[in-house]
Amino acid sequence: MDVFDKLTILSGAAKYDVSCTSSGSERQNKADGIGSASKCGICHTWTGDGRCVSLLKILFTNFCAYDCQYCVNRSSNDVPRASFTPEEIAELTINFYKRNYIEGLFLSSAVLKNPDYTAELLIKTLSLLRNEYKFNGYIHVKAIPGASPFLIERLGYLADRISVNIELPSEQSLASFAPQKSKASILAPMKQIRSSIEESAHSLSIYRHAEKFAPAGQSTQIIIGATPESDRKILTLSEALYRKYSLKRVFYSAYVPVGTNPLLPVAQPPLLREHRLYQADWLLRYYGFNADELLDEKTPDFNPIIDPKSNWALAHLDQFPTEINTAPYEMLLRTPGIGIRGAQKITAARRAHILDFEDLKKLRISIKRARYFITCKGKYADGIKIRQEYLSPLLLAEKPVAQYGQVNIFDMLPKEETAKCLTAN
Amino acid sequence: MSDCELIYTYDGTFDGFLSCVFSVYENREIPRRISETKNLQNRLDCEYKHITTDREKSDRVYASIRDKISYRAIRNVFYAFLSDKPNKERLILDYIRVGYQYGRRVDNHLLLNPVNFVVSAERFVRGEAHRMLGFVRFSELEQGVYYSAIQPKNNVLPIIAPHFAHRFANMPWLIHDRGRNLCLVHLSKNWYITDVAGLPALKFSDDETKYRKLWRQFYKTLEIKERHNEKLQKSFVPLYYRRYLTEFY
Repeated sequence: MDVFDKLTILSGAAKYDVSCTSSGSERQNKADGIGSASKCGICHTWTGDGRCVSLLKILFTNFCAYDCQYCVNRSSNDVPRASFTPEEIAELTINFYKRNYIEGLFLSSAVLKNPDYTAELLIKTLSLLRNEYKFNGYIHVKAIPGASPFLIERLGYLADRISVNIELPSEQSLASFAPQKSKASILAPMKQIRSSIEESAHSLSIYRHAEKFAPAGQSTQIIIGATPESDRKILTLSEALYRKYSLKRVFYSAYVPVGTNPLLPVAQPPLLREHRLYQADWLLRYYGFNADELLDEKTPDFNPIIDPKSNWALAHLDQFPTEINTAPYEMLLRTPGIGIRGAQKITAARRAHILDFEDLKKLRISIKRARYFITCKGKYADGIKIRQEYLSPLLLAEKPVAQYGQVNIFDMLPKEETAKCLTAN
Repeated sequence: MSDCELIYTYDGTFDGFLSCVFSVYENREIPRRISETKNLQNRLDCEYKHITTDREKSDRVYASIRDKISYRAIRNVFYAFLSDKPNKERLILDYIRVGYQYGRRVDNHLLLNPVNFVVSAERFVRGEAHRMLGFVRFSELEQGVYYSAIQPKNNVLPIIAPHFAHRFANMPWLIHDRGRNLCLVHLSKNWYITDVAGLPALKFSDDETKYRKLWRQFYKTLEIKERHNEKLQKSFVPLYYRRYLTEFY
């Protein structure tokens, strides 16, 4: 089998891992080496499904000893199998890299024979790249669950990011679909990686040339919609991972039906649900929200037709309107329709001028969504005079709302809440 | 003088532009426009003044903007200067004038036209330069030199040069801006930008076809068909940029 066929099989088998970021590391090119890593990450192209390609994302092998039902590479699945050699991967990476196709390598693997054997193969590949080819580009490697701690340690020193996929968000789901894995076998390496990162950061603060352990941190992936967990459960899990394990990213992957187990769904991937989780994930990381502010026991799942931030705002109308000229940055961030950039522009511009709606337009901040929640100089936007008109069709007839696409946020509110919202001020 | 508009002409370089800024303050006059000599359309009712590029003057203006306004301001000025926006020189001049008035707080005055222009032009150029870091596609030539063609909207070569020089420090390579006929050349660890009229026919190395084929195959395999979303893809890789991307031709 030549490299072309291997690449076809082993990139096809790796594509369900959604992580493809190359950010967070500032690896410098050293003398007579090739490559560097850019702090903010660089995307090189985007596939037909709109996902960024920045790394050569491949499996070392898809011969797997495990039989996880949700996974396309499970041992019981009848698919073509292949294995790279460390040399083939190094050649491919370097040649793609020299042509500026990629930022680096994303190397994962099925479990060949046993976890330790697999981890050793990955180490061999990465050492070859780093030491023989003097490759200073980005490397993201998967820690193989169940591999010995000292092997994971070695991987972490060779890579920029190391990750362990949780895949299924609860112990029960793991037990039913991934019998060879357990919560403990997944969390143990994550804990180990976290403490190695902390140790390395500490020694770096003392010795400038201390070796860096996974300078871009660790991430994980959770499959959405294969098992019955609620959005709340998933988001709470993510929050805990960010706080307790200092993860850089949690990726959500809408389950694409690749399994044959009758208990797994066969429907199209729940892309909208995945989208809502990503929106909420950003709210956790950049907007200062907590998971239990966004979802509670009564509403454990996100509303398909309204984004999590607007949803939160509608439930907390007492905290609005936001006065653009005086509201603290944190409150601007919590206002629907205003993002990080918008909030930054507002806080900068209002140091020099008192802002009006016209000025927001000039700053190129869209108030399409925000106008219901903001005032400038104490006044609502002009359009808000027609508030009554939003109300009436809703009172006259319950219109069915389209499942997808932009909808007016007031269309789906309970009536008394709409009334409250519209008469507020 | 009243019906006669003053127009500065310069050689189109950044140093030339900064020399114009120097002359503005030296002569206490504000030209109606500052225009590259080669773009000039002579009009009878205008007074033309050619400003010769003077490295000493431009260095003084550069340091003055950096020290009296801010480091960010000189960066804004440089990036906005690299943009392809019409009449950028005059708007940047106005930005500098506002900058001397407000000092380092100038970028808060986003509601003033010149500030708004410069800040958004800077963002446009920076964004495209960042995009180009990913969109450059090198091909290996017979002589072992790596060649890439790009056609960005703004003149991003000076911005992306350090990135590639650092990353591919030991490789000889060229990045050719087809629209401007400029070429970023990296040879024996030094880079410079030069005008090129045309390049001789390129002969690719034997490996080139093989790796292009592998890359296209990798790219094709990577899509999850169940998630196909052309609109999303287009927003990230606009058709404009696809001409020189190996995976799209």
